[in-house]
Amino acid sequence: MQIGRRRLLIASGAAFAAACAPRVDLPAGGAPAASGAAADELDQISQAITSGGPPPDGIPPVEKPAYLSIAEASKQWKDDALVDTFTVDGQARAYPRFITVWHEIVNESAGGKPIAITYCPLTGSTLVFSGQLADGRATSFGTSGMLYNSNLVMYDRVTKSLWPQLFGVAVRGERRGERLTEIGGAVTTTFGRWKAKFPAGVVLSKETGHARAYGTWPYGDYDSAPGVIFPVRFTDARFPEKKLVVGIRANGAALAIPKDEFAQRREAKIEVGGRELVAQYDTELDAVRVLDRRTLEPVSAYNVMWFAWYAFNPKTEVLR
Amino acid sequence: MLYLLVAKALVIDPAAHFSRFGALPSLVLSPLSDRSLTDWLEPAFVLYLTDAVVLAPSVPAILTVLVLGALVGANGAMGVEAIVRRPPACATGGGPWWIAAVLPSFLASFSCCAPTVLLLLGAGAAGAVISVIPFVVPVAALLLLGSLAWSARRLERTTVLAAA
Repeated sequence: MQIGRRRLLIASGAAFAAACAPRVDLPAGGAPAASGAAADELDQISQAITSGGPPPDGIPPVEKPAYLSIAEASKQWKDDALVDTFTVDGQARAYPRFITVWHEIVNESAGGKPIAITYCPLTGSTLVFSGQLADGRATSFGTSGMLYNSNLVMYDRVTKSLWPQLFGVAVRGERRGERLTEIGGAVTTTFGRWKAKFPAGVVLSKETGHARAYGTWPYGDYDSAPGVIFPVRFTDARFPEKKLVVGIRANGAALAIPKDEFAQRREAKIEVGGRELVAQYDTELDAVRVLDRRTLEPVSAYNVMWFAWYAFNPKTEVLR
Repeated sequence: MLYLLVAKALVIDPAAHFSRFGALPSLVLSPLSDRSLTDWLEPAFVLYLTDAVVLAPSVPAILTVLVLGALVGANGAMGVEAIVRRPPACATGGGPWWIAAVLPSFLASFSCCAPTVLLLLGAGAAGAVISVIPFVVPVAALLLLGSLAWSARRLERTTVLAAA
């Protein structure tokens, strides 16, 4: 059987195009479908989403996280290495940023239900989300390769809806307008401080199923240099852009606690959106925790660069 | 080498202390199963060479280095040949021909330095520049090929004339 040169070229071209096409078909930003004030805001956000460069899951999440004992991890990581820490099923776990910077999302499970530990290197924010959608379906999350306000835009693997990490609400797709459940209690600290406090903890392993130059930082001095790379909608000059604040949101209100200044203050009773909370400085971890004053349960409060917090929450109050 | 360094496929970090990850040199191969072409932008392997040096190039980065490296090498060899033989055809007459010689390498280095250039320009100007970046390496390769063919032709003509 003879195959013509033209046919061969067409077949090769089609195969190449199919291979190049993103494997995940994410919803495109279409014409506004306004239905009230909230919808208008979602439309504006949806239209302000920009490409960050990589295709969907071009920054691949860790799907099957493996863990090391502290003794093993201590051979690999220096005490001053930054880690995001979280307690899963009663076990303290640390996620070294030298690993998560290459993946941005760790899909995990807690109590048999999916959760996602998400880290955006461009905004310095780590949030933990439940993978349970409002209709009860369970999902893991992927990286869309897109950004809003320079912040990671995730997608859920069930409906492919787009969720900016610091917004926590779907802005495109089937779940548009739905808010993900944030899980409180995650704290960013150093490996040395964390292991001294949680000697029985475990640490995310470099065996992620991907080859990456773990131990190197692909963003150079971005964390300390002035300026952001991607556009943001709202800016404010009260603090340097990359200054770390602890962000808390409740019932539509937002509060920023400048982290370094709060270290002197140690504790403050605060109210955010009518919710009575207490912020405490953890001297062992050099971190700020926020608890519900009534239940003493931790609420979602996380380190985030000031420019990003303000871009998402232009009406934020600042604790002085 | 410079290309790999600026493209961050080669990282030199004196504070890294890579031997913490195990005996050096240590090689981690990328899993090949279930790959689409977009995944080929991932490192093909990670090679921790010393305590401070790690090499993690993607397949396109390796191909770019090989193709551009070979073309630059061939152009260089042709240049040496021209100097050794000193054929009259290689006299350029003093025009701005050096631009043609420098342009391919400029384009190639611009493409790999693009993220740094964009950081310097800021987000506003980045939009205008970012659209041309994918074409820069192919254009550099074409220019190098053109330069190689042109040099080869002139050298060949000179050789034929000399033989006659």
